[in-house]
Amino acid sequence: MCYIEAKLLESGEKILLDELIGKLSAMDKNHGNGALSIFVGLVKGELNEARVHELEYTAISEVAAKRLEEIARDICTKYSLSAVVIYHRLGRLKPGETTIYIVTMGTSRKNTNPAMIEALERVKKEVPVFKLEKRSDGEYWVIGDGVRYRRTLTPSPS
Amino acid sequence: MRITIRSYSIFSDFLGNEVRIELDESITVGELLDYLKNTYSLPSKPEPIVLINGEIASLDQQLRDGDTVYIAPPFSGG
Repeated sequence: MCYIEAKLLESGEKILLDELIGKLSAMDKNHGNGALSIFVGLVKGELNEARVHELEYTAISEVAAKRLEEIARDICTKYSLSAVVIYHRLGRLKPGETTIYIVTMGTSRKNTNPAMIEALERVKKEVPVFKLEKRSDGEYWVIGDGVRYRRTLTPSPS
Repeated sequence: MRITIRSYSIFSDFLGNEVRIELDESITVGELLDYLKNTYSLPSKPEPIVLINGEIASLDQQLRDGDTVYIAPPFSGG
């Protein structure tokens, strides 16, 4: 039995890690789990010698939410875990704010650590989320894992 | 036939968030991209990923009346 929770969060939505850990731990009635790995992504305040003022995340929301859940389910099965939680924020985020949470729970860190890393890499590649960096030297669309296109156009009206 | 196009990231600067077009005849995804390049100056790079009704589509996939087409660059979450 694998507990899955995967969703997109609004920029101001609070996540209380202690509560989440308590909830997951309470599901483990026989105390068979020995490890819980957590990755939390943060907005960096400096990049390529420029100050980052803000990141703006957008998504194809209906597809992204489904993909997050599929990834969580795959990872849970592949690593024989008892729980996988993935939250990804959207909207405008300032340096120091959290962007993504990945939590994996299982019998050993030998399962939970690689599972957490693989889940993160899959989210980056497979979930339709997009990032705009607003920096002291201009605005940049981040494409894929690190290629940047300077924004030169005013957005078209919808 | 009517197609709704939703664009994301760098492509939304050229297309806006949503465009609706009417066509006299069915076209492929590749033909739609050519049309958008000619009409809206959609750039060739980065190479767009196209999803139709939520699933990744190939360039030769035929569009159907009522389709919603998502046009996006490679994803950059995390």
